[in-house]
Amino acid sequence: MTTVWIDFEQSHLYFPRIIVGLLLAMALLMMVRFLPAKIQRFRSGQRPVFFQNKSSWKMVGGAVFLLWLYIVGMGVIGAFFPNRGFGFLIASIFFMLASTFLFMGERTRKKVLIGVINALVTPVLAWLVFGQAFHITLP
Amino acid sequence: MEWLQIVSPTFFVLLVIGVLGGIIFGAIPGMTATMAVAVFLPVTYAFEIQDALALLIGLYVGGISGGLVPAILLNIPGTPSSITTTFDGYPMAQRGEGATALRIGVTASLIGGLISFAILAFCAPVLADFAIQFSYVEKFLLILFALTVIAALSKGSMLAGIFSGTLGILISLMGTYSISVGGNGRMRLVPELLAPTLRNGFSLLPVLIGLFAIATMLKEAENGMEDPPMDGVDLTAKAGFDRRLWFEQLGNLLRSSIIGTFVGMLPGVGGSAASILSYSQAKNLSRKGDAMGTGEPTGLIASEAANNGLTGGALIPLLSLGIPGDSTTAVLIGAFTLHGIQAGPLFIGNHPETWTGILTALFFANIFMFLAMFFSIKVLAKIIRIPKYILYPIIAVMCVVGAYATNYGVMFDIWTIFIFGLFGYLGVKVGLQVPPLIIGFILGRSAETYFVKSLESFGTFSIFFTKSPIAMILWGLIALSAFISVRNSRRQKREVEHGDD
Repeated sequence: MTTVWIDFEQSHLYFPRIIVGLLLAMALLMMVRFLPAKIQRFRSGQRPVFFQNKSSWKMVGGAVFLLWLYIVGMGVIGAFFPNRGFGFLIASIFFMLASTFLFMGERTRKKVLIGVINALVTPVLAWLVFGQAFHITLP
Repeated sequence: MEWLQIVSPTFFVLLVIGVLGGIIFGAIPGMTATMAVAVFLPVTYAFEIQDALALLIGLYVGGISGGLVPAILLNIPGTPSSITTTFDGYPMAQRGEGATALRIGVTASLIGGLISFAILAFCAPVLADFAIQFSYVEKFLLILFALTVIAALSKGSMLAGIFSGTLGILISLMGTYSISVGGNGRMRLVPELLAPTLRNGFSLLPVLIGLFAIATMLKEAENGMEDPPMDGVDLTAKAGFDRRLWFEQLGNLLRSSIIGTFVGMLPGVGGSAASILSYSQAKNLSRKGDAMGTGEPTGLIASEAANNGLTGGALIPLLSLGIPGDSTTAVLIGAFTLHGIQAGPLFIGNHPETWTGILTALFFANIFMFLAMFFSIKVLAKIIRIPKYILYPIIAVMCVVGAYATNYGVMFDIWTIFIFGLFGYLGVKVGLQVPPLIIGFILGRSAETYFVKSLESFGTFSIFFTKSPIAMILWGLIALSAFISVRNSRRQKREVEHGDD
């Protein structure tokens, strides 16, 4: 009863099928256990809280967008200068400037100055140390 | 003096840099030791494995220790493992004994670290010798055991913990069933469109960097990166250092360090579980237990000795079985892979110099951590003020370098940190748990190989029960941890119900 025979040609699917089966079973179990209570709470007017305060979705959304733009930009700029790491260098400076201002909140002259210096110095340093001294490939 | 031949000036310089960097990461709330190790990984590409590990272990020890600074001074745990440090540390700081509290915490950390170092040096080789006899059957059961332990001790819902671990396994299986482990070399779980890029699945390091660094950045963006408040902390009072205290606390110190080490050994269970368990034990067993929570050194010592005890403990299953003890050691597996070293039962025997290097690094990391923190209280109080809008952009750039270097310049690896950063951030919101997910992801492919190969060679499921006495012992342990997890979740439920009354 416990004997098994695994067809080698299909063996790449054997374990994944078990895992997918387990996941589906657990998902079902969780739905049965938690969903009714959730629906009841929703009906009684309690809405799930996704963000702690209202303005925070702008910060998160902004961070996600900047990261996306950073990665795309790196590839696009890097294509003009293959294997020199300039895509990384240029995109990093812009990304750091933008994200520093996004995260900064209230702006003062001192905070802005430190942020700008950081955004200029860090990518150059990283490019020099990793790209030039350590010979790590950069986009 | 065998170890002297292995270490070099570079080794010590990197160790000191690691410890200092780790303390900074640990001291800034929201940034953890795991993140420190993930962010610094690219730096280690250029070094020999020993030197690379010196840096990473320094970061690990520094990162775990640094968390006590904001815990004591601001009532904000710098890392999850210093939550219980706030209970007694902050009341002490409010009484004007901040400097004393910091020194007590640092000393307890040192002793916790050294005790766990001794246990690691003794236990790992013994466990590895034992594990060498394991066949695929026992190895599969060991992974199953590791996953049930995670579920048993997971913080939220137990079912969500197991689900996360299984999901981690599924993600690890994406790509080809590699011929090098006896597979048929065919693709699975990957859409046609992504087949060329995901031929070997997601790479470990970008996944880790995404889950631990980028997801944390998004979480912090949500919380807002305003400067932490710095009110009512007075460090001008002279720090007393009472020797009698340490004689009184010897039992507590030993017990907490050992609890920390053994909790560390359990896979996927991090420092917060270690310090919470040791804190509650101290409350039950110590004569001053009743005063704990009001600024009593006993609680501070219990918490800090335990979370540093974790460091040596978490390395034990990593170096002897290839199973990471917590999320930071999971990232260390990445560093091993990078240098072409396989963590597992053969590690200590095959790489004695790396093993000695790790022990040396761990020992001196604790000493340097102590020296750096004990004598620079005022500087530490400033570190926690480094603004996050400066730090997180730097971290994001470091993450990109690290991800891109993983496979010597694959753009998809950078997309991986983005995907998993987003996945980690959103996943936690719907109840997924990152530590089990990561352990599942790391062990998933091995689990598959061991499971399928066992069945292919023996042709029966019963082999998992009858192969050897070790297999039966492992089933006993699996049953035990399943029992504990059911009991715990019942108890939690009851407490919640009582709370609602």
